[in-house]
Amino acid sequence: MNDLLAPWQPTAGDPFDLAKVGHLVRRGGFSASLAKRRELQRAGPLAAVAQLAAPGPDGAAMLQQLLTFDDIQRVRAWRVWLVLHGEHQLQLRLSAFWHDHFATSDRKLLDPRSMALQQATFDRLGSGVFDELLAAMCRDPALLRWLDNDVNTKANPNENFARELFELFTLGRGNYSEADIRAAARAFTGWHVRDGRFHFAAHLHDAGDKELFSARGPLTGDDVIARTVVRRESAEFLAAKWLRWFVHPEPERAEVDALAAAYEQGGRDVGAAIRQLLQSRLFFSPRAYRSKVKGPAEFVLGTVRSLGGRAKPAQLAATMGALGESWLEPPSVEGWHRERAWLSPAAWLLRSNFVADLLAGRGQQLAPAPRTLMPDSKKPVDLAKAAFLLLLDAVPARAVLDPVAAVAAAHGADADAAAAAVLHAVACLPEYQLL
Amino acid sequence: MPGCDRRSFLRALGALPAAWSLGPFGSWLPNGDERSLLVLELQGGNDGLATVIPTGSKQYAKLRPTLGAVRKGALALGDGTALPGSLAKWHGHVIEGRATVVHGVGYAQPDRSHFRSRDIWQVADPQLQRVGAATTGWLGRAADRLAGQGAGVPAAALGQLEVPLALHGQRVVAPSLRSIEDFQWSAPAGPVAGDSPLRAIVAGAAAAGDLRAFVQQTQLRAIELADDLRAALARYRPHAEYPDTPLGRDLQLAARLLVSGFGTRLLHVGFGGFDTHARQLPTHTALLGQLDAALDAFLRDLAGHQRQQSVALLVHSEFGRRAAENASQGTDHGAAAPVFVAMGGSVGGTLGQVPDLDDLLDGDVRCTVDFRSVYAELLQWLGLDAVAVLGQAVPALGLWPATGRPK
Amino acid sequence: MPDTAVAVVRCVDPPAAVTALLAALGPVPAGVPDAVRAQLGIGITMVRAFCDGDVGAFADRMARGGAALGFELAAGGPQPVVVLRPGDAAAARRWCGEHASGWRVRAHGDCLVLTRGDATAGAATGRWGTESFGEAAALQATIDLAPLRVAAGSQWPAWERLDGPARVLLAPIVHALGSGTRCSLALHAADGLRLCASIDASVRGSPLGALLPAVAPHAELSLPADGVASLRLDRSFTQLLRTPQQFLDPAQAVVAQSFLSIADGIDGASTSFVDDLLGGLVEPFVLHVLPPEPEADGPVPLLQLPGFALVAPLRTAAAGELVLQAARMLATIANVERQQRGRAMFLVRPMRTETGHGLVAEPGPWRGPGAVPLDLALSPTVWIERGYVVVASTHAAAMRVLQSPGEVPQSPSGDHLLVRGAPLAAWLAANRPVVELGRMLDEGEDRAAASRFFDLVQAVVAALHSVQWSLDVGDDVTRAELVLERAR
Repeated sequence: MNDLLAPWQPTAGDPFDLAKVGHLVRRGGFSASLAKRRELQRAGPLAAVAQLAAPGPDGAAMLQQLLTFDDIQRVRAWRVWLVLHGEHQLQLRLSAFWHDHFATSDRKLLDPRSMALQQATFDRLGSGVFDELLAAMCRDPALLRWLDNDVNTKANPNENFARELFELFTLGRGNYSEADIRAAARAFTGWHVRDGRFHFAAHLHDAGDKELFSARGPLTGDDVIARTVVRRESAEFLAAKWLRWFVHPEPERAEVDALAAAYEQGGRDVGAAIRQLLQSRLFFSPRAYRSKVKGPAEFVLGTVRSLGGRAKPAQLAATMGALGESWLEPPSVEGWHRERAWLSPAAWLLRSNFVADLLAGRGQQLAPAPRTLMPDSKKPVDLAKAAFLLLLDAVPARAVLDPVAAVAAAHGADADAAAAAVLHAVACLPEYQLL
Repeated sequence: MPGCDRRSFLRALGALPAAWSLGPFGSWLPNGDERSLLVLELQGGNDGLATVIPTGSKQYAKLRPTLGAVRKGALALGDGTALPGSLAKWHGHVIEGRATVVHGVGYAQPDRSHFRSRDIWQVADPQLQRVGAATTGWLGRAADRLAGQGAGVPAAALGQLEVPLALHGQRVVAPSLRSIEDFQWSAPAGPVAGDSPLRAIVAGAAAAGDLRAFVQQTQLRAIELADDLRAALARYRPHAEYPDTPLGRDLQLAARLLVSGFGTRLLHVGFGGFDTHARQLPTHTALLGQLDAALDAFLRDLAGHQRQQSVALLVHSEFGRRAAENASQGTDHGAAAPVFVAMGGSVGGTLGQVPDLDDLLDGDVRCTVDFRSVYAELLQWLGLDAVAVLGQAVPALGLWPATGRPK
Repeated sequence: MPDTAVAVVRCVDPPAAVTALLAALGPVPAGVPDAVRAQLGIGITMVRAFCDGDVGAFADRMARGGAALGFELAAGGPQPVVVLRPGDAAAARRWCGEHASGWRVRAHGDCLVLTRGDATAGAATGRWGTESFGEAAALQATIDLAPLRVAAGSQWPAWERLDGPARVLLAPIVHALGSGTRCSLALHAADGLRLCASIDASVRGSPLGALLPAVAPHAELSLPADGVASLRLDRSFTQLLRTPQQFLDPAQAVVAQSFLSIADGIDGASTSFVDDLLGGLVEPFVLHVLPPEPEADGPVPLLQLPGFALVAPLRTAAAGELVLQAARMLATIANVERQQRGRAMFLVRPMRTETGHGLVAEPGPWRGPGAVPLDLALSPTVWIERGYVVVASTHAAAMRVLQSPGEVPQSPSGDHLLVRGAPLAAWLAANRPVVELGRMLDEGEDRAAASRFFDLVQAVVAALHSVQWSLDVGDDVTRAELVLERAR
């Protein structure tokens, strides 16, 4: 085990405080209520990561009920609902990661059921061995139709699926040749969709010899998958993306090497690699803390979860969409453009206005009411302290605290207005825009 | 930031990496005389032959035994065509050179499906087979390039639930605006006042490090621009009375955005109801009447704000309708049709060949102008490389006078 | 009661009214969740504390000889005035002293007059003693509309400010409120709770009156015994679409005309949708909602939609064929759209029995993965039989409705909505998991909270025999009635 990924140990000078817990629940989930954060803090870092990584409940019954509706708004609301209510935060986080990775859009498919089933596959396999997830994705009706593999035949090979398989899903640009793409495209001929299910159309499949990565044979799609996942470039490609997603937007070479090695040594078990990452010194280093810009889901859903409340999923999803992250409708197969691209002036205004609307009950509805989130705080300064603990990780120095308290004081005896105003003020701080 | 000159502040911000302004909304910039384009799409397939009537043709009465009544009270354009009485105000704008009628616009091998033809127009690809994951619209591609110039382009759809394909870019994702209030800064108790301590909280937060500085600068810029927008909107006084119709409201919102320094360069507005398969005359007359009133207010309003030279308008539909009326006193899906272009210094009057009703193609008016030629000249006028946006060169049309034509 | 009161609620015999109202409400329904029951218990205890014990005895002490609540218009809003004729004047005064803080209590003959704060009630010459309160009832009220209209100004509902559907739905009520002088209300407590309202004005005779169809008494197919709900909306769509600009705002009128432009293409080239198709039917139409009847074979969706059937008597046989022709065109369009979205098409086929004929669209066999989608249980049907055309969401619903005996309704015109508690509760019970999921996704509740919510809804619905709403527009009076009946 190398140094970077060695488990981080709290010390007297660098304790597992609420800032560390906040960092963990924001990255390994979509934030958490203050009560939950305190519970995780008591448990310690290793147990906290284990809690976040606990598998979710069997969602099969709920999925079947959802499929009955055949409605994309409901599918989207379901994903938001799961994030708001689910204890299995890391699994949901990884599902969001895989949705960005295998970015499929219902704008083209117009098939809410297939989209829901794809999400369910992420939930089921997203924390397991990558080989299995990739094999499932290569048979996923939504992805196959999204990338036109349903018209990929022996007579007319279509390279779209094979190209994205290498470029975006496994190896990254520059790590394969055009000849490899042509070979892989032929291997996936006949991998079609019928009646909403994967269907292997044998008579449209090209069973001839192909040359992939300098080896020859009558390769099938499964052979391509098996030969691709074992390549070092694939481990590095995924490791770099996980580091950007979970740790820091600009990972260093040594960090990528370390995580890629851990992933390979762990038998390409994604969940194990991510758990190791979340426990690591690298993850808890100052370099990682607040080093990323919150995306719309992280901001919108994270705000509701941090406050420990609930809100209407469809409205939250609509807000995420207005901010540029409409789940189930990524802008392209490359997924969403992240980090600083999220935050234009207009986008920040919409974020700030969302928090204001949520707390004021304008168009959004937060339950319970803001005041009851801070029941023990009466004086403005206490309200400000409570708001910092709910939304940011610690109570700041007086110089930062007092102006926020002044916002509460401006509302006099109106406890609801004062509570809403301080929470909004804290959410307006630059720090709160960062993950 | 009291005391800080806004333009120098923005110039300083202009030195920041361009990617910063490429959020989902691009960014706002002071607008000055930057050129903007509004595209109004008449949805359902507008009957071109009842919109610009070839009054000189003897065939018209034969093809349109009942719908030909539209010629009563029609207003001549001087080239053997006329506008129906329901477009009286628009007629004035064409005659006086503020608006141009382009005859016979379409594409070869017309597709009669609303959806396919709409996609073809919006993508600007007559050979379009299917809309794929990476399909972009012509305005979206234009927005990408305007953003690439460091100008951060907000393109927006107005009054529509969905952002039309035309506005889908590779990088720029245009929002759909239903209310300008979305872009004012609010606290739970209401709009953030000029003396609110909230401003000091944002401005005063210690923002150590590059990323925090970026966030804080974005916030300050948003707040300042929201203030500017509010002030500009408060100053906005319509120079024309808009009709109280959805189209009137959408065009007034467009005018407010255009004149208030919001920096929106590309706007898309939809106006539906043109799928007139039966009893066309009363419906079409009412639709054109709404169009006439709203367009007239828009033109006069922008002229009143001295923006008639820096804003251009395109009005088009996904296709025209068949030359002959059907048995239900309506018309079915057709092909080429006239489009309107207005303002921005365009030539005015009429342009192109008057449809020849003695020389129809499968019962349709022949396409004599590739719709991409219209796009190309609008793109050039915006200062863009039309070939790059459209993917190929198309014949010139002459919408702008040769002398005043932009590079 | 001061003459200046503009609205007065009166109870002639409060002790009897309290008894009757409590009897009509009945006990807390069985099946109400314990948490809600406990809340209700607290509420009842608080009421008892407020009344110093039994509510009936309280009413007797305070107002054996009658009670009235009036409202006067004042600058700060409506000011209440309460007049009581107590059975025990001393006890009533004592109670007011303890509980009615903020009220001024004065004796006036054998009555107590209560006014809020410093307000003084206007002079009373007995106008309200002689005003007619309409039919006898447990609670009666009379409202002077004219002064209220003046006071409310632009707040008063105006037809012109309503948008599309509301203009059509609410026209009779809004017109009556806008032109009547007097609104009388009566709350009856016999045979369930019955709230009647009447206004001395009618939309008939006004230009908007054209929205009401000219009704010839005809037999309506009644709601089958196990039916969930039925709705008769007494509006003329023929009139609405014939002159949309008269009833809709300009933009919506254009939308309506655009719709006609397409609709006229659908029903056939040489006919008019309004004149020949709608005009060939007898308005008003009736919509029946029936419990779902799952097909015996094949998988069924987890959510069983109720069957919907719209029934219209045929004026001309030709209209029936036009409806069928339009249905055929619509089915083709819908199938093309389904195909574009990758959905299996419905198989559309004409059917004929000895007594009727029609068009039935049925989904193909389900082959996809996972639970069957909702629309697989639909079999949209247009059926012509016995001089009626039935447009239904399922073939079974169409057939069920046509088995009903036809009867000439007691009132052949007017809006009428009937919802039956037991079948609605049964439907809810059978579809709880998916209905709960719908609420979870809409409201953000967890499963337990959604489940509690529907426990309550189901208990309340099951405890109701029926809820009925009707609106009857006479020649010069508009009457509305809401009837709630407990299950027995």
